[in-house]
Amino acid sequence: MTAQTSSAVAAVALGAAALVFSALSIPSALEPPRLPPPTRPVTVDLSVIITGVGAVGESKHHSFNPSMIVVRRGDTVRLRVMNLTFARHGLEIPGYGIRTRGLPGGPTGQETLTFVADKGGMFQYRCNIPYNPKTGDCSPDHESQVGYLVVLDEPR
Amino acid sequence: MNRSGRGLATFALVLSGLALIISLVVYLSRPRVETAETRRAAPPTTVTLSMVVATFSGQGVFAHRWYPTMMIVREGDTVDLVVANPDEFAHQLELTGYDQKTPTLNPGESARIKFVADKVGVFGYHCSLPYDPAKKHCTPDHGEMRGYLIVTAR
Repeated sequence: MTAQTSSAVAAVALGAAALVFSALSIPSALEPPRLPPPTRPVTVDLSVIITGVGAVGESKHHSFNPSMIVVRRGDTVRLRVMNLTFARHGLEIPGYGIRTRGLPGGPTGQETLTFVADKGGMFQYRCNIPYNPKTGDCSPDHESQVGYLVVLDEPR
Repeated sequence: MNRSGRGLATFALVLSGLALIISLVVYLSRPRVETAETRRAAPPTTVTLSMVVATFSGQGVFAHRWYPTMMIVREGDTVDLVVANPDEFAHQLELTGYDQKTPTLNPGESARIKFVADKVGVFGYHCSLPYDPAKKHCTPDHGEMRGYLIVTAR
């Protein structure tokens, strides 16, 4: 057998092997990608209450209710923020650049924020009124008055 | 003739070697088809929760809300909810998109709803008992008693 013939035989063998592997890959290449069915954007319309937690009377702990809001990317979020405490509080979501004014406690302390959750991820919301006992702004637990907006990055 | 034939054979050998490498790479990196094993890795679960009518108060304002306000399950999970009403007015929970509804919950009563979350999407729940002070049905903030169930795709 000449070197030429053995090269040709080897080439045919390798080519045949390549053909077999290519053929084996065909079914998965033809398979459409598995994606969850598309879902329509909705409006998540919620009231967010700023309230004292725990003891009756002058609470030392303040929180947002709910403290976690979950939407899908593309959903519209409408938050009616109301303050039931005795101090001024507010709500801001720095990651989305939106905030309420300082809301006095009681029926007048309400503001609605509306935005489209067009960025996926976790976004903290927090009180945007620094603690100042002289002016009745916020409370000593200002830093722990936080919550999270979770925007699920579902494929659309 | 002999010389060019050998050159051609070597060229064919190199080409088919390349073809073998490329097809091997494609074959080994082919997308994995979902099997029964991978499906078993995340079996559907039952999400058991107790939901209550929570009352928030302060500054003379009373706010009634479904608590929890948001629930997340995956498609195929079973939702098992015990809905209780510790409020002094009657309420009723309705999950519109799933046709689930408790009976009227008088003060102190509770009811259980159980269903399989087989539809993906966002489903609102609300109080379906209209405000009627004469019957002690619901409260003036009836329209604010809203929450959402999110069912994510599996």
